[in-house]
Amino acid sequence: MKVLGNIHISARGSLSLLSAPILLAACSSSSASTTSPPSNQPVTITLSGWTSSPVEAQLLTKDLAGFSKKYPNIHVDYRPISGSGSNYESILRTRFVAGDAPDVIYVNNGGESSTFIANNDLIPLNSYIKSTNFSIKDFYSSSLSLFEKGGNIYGIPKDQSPLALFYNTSMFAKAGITHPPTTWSQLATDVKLLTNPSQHIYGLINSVQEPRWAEFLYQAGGGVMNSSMTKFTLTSPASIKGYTYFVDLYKNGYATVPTTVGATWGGQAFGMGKAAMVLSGNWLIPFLNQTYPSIHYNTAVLPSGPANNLSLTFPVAYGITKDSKHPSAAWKLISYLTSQSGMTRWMKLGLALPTRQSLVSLPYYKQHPVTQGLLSQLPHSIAWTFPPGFVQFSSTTMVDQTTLAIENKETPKQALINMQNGGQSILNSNNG
Amino acid sequence: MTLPAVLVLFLFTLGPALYAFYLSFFSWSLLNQMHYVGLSNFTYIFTSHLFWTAVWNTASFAFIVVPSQTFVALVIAVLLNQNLPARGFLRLAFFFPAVSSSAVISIIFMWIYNKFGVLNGFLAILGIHGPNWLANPLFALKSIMIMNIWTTSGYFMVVFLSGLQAIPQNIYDAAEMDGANAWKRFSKITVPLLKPTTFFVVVMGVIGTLQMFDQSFILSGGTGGPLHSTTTLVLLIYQYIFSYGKVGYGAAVTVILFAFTMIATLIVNRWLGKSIEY
Repeated sequence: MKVLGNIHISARGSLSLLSAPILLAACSSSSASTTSPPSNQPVTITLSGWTSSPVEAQLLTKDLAGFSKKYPNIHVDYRPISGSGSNYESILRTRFVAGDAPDVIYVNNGGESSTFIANNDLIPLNSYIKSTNFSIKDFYSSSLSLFEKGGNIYGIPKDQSPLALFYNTSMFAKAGITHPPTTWSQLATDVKLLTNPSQHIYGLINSVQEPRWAEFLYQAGGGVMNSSMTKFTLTSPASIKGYTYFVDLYKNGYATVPTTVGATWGGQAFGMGKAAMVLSGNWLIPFLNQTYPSIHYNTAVLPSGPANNLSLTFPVAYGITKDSKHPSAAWKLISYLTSQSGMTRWMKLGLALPTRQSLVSLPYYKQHPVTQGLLSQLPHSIAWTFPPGFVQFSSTTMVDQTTLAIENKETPKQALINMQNGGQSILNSNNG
Repeated sequence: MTLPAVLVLFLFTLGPALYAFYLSFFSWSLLNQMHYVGLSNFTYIFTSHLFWTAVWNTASFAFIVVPSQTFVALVIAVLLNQNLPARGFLRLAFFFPAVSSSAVISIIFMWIYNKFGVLNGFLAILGIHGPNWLANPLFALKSIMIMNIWTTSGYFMVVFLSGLQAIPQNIYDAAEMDGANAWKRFSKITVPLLKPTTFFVVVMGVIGTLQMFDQSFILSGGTGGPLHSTTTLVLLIYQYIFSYGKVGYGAAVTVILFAFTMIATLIVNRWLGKSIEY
């Protein structure tokens, strides 16, 4: 605003010159733009994302009111897509098919970003970043890299959350444990002390989806795939070691899946007081505040394995779709929401953690010390992703194999071999 | 006069159905450019373990649910066709699930089937340690079967009731005069004369069960789990097209499901579809 004002005063004539290329690009598909005056043309852009809770939609609407004050000519039509899980992507895909995708969308991790980028559904933002001097260096490279390909940036990470260890402080005190486990062996001892099957209380409750066990592979020095994602590395000795440690927690009866205690997800089991520990992200905090306010808990970084204490993080970005007719207006919205001040406003809502490194020291976090474990985990986390075409594999094959392993119907090694073969054959067929 | 109706039929029913046939020969992820792949979608589907699991789940669902719901609906209809006290209330009570949304019913049953839910609470009184119904691959599909029978029986009960009331009373009177007892009257008059109604109920039941989707989707959280034990053919179609970005596979399963449904309907037609002679 300030910059624009200066131009306006100092060089009145050059204003239209300056904004002409941007507007031309914005309206390239409509022939009317050549005849109508280029400036002050009101445009409408749509923004779609999922909503973690009705609160998120309310808060974003409020934040968007500030945007329309700043840019009165850009009207933002916020159309959240409700529903959980993959519902958002399913609906979004149908919008792309109809050629009517929203201008700005939430781009998810876990293989969604790579799929959208590979299909050229998002436009590169490099020119906008450059022309508006948008500071990109402040972003965690782990989260930004998820939305980068071949030197192009396709999304600006709006927030993220790593998985950290949530632990029930009253249960810990009752069991005489003074601090959260910092190593695998401490974790193994603690889950044993905290488990009480007759009361349906378990040391650790988590579903067996891949992002709840992949960190154990990294912590042992292994991993799911190599860094360039051209090969699966599930059967390396370190990966087997990490996976076996995870499976053993369940096989020994000190960890279990949420349905065992009548919960639908680990966070709910934790809120019900059935789990002494759960690996979860920042989203659990508002859920506990709203649904289980009486639970006493804290967060900590994940216990270290033989190699490190790496965790997974889940960055979400704003991207501009190829269908957008007003990409420069869309960019204004993205830069408004993800700028230093925009992200600060968003972080104060407590729904997620920043993707800008400079914001981890916000006063907000001093006032909310429960986020400390999550914040400390941030630098030690890898963004969760897959190459395109792995949704079925990650959401069913990996879950099924791990279910068989924890139920002792298959050895951990055999489960990993099956996953390795399944994943590798998808990779080969994608390349072939 | 019929033009608007034909147009709507083409636009929203026949058109999409034909398009599904067309898509089954293409590889497409919804997001990329589609390209022709011949019959390879069908080759993949027929050699896919998951497809046969879905076929087995769907077939066993139909085989158990259709006879059960037909039988239960018939029995309730015959009972409620008598002069019972509070007949209206009972009819309403049995019909109620049919007018409720299946999503709502599924969510209620998630509570009933919860590890510490209503059902296991009752079983505990009887000293039975109930399983984790929806999380156990052995019980998950059976739980949905029970729920489905409960939900649809009320609807088919109403259909049977209307069929029962179309049977002339004088046939019963004559039979009674000849000394036929209640069971004889039921098995020799009611059941044969209800055949057109039964035909309708069985055909609708077969089509409905072969297309079961919503209950599996909600009770398994969209996954068809645990361990694919609740993956039905339609759920698989949905997953292929909307979740996994394999439109061709989903379209191929759609074509196969169409064939299955047609064969099943033809068999039922041969068996029950003949006109009845008084």
